[in-house]
Amino acid sequence: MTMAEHHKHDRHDEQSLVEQHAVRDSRAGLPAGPPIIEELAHMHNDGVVARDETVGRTLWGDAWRRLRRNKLALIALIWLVVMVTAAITADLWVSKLFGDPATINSATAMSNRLLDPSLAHPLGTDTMGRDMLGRLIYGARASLTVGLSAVVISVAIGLLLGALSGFYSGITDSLIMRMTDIFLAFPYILFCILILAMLPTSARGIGPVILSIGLLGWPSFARLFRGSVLSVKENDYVDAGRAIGASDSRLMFRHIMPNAIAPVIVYATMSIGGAILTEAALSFLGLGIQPPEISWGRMITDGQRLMDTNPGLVFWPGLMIILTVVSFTLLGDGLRDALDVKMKD
Amino acid sequence: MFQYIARRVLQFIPVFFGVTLILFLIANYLPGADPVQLKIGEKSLDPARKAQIVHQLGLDRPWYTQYIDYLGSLSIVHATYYDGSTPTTTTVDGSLATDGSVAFVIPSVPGPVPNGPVFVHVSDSQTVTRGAWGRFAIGSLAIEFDKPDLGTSLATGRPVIDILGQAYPYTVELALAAILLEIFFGIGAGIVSAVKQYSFWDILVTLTSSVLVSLPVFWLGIMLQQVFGIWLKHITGGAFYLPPLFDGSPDAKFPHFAYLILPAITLASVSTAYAARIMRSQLLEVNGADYIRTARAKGLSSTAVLWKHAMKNAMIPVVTFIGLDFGAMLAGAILTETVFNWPGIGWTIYKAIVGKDFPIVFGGVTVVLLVVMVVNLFVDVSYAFLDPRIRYGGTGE
Repeated sequence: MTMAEHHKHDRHDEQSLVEQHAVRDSRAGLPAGPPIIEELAHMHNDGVVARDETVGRTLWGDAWRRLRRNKLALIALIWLVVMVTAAITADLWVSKLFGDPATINSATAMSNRLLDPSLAHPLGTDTMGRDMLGRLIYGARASLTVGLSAVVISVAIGLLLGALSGFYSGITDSLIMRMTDIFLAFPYILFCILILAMLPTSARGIGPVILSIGLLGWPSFARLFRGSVLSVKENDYVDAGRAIGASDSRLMFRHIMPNAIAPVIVYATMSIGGAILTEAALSFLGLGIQPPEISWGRMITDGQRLMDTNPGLVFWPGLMIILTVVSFTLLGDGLRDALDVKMKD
Repeated sequence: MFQYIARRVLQFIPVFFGVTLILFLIANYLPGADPVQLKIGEKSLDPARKAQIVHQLGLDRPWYTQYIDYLGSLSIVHATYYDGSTPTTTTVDGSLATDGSVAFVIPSVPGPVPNGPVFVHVSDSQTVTRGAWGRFAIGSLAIEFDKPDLGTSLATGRPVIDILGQAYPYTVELALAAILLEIFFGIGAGIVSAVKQYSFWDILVTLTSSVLVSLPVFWLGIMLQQVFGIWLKHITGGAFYLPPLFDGSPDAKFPHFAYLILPAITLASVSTAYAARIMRSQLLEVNGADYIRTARAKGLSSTAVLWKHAMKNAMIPVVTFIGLDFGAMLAGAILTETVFNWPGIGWTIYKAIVGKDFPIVFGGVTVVLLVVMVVNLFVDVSYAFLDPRIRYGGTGE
């Protein structure tokens, strides 16, 4: 359990406030959540469609209202939004303010080498005279790209296999579950290391890193979604849907998925942090992102030799990794409380 | 209980074949990689010569033949059947060779040399001997026990299995030290924070563990080494800072365990945080159970309730976690060992990656994964003895 525990007891007094804001904040929230068949979902809960109360209220709207009351999750979200914005817009301003962070300018490399922090270089410069802050911002780009893309791949595979496994039981289920056993049996970072080590140096880079993390990370999602589908499948509204002749895919996508997806979203958010840590580790070992592309893990490798005189070269990239990973964990915790998902620790 | 154990052991079989198959596919069919490099290194060859090597190495055979060969190379039992074309009467010499290994002598035979690293073949009056753990023959069937054959290092020509065998004790030593720290601090912190829920200590433990699980391990290692090994040198006297390959190094003026402390803390950090979290949530969950309320109601002191009743059940998942984590530590120390130059298996794999010594990388990962799988199986099975629900006939589901 995490600090999420501490927030749980807030939830009761929060309900009344939520009620007051219900109309004003209708659907202010997570962008375009999956469609919810509101009446049916509520009918399942209370047996009655309380139309007046549910006007404009959705699972996702409620979740967003709860999330906003969780200060830690909100701080994490703000930090991530700032980072994402900085990373996306980096091309527009970083070079102008701090000089090119990636390429080595042979004319100034020696004179600008290992400068102390100053107004022009808020965190100093590295061994090649490149601005540290600029490099950190570009490093965010690599980390976020890898974290998000790898998790998207894992989630896509996991959802597909988990859905098949949970929806059709029997042999499909057994086969897919044995496959997850196999993939969960080993520490997957070792497989990433092996795959990347076997690739020729020229083929290494951000693509293989994303693929190896993404392709090996799916089993937890498959298991999670399977369990979720299994429990949602039992609901009356799924039977109702089937009775009126809905196809399997319609049942899956319109009826089951929207109600079974919440745990996957929570776990995916937390996994982004894990993928970022893995990327940093792979790049630290020299298997991940290759210069001149910038990665926090690689910056730590490069700075390691100069720890004695310039500890900042290692300290700052490490701090960025921690802040980013902690943020994804806290956001995931917040989402878990907001979506009221019960998960094992 | 028997049913539970039998099922766990049976589940191990598909996992074993699955993992080895994935390893095999990575080695031979990874898009963009060249399977030849695993045997001869990264070389640019002209196509004709390359085709020749591919044929010599048997890489043009169907994948399942190669996969079976790969499994055979991992095996420690090698059996060879000598059919009529090979004389069997002279197989067993049994004399003790000077290097202590038992030499088996097969006189020069017409036709192909028996395949595989089994019996010794003598041709042109040259005897080639191989050390093995043991050999015996049943009629025409020759059985030999030997180390798995993982190929030889491209750089030194030494058998990969020997290189790994030399490194493994260091990894085990580090893992044991880290597990001790994890048991002591992880369980301790978990108990404190559950018993004094919402106190200062609880919040401290919760916050610290949240940060610890988000730490890049290698970064923590570098920082610890810098702070305690170098900046605080005048206090620590240079202990903790590991000279590369310290054993036998003149720089190593402290006892062995002094150099073990920082790597062990680094390796234990993340898992200790997880252990504390699990311990805390388990204790809190158990504390809400009816039998604990009963124990309190009959007037038992809270210490007795905690140690005699609550801990017994709360410990089971923690012990399982620590067991599985020990397995992972026998594999996952590549970052810690690299940072501290600790000459274990992770460090060996890292050096091989840098030096493009592919047989060591592949053999190392193979061995490590097999060890992890076996340790996991062991933990799963011992769970049957730990958990009374399974011990008395349940299935653990």
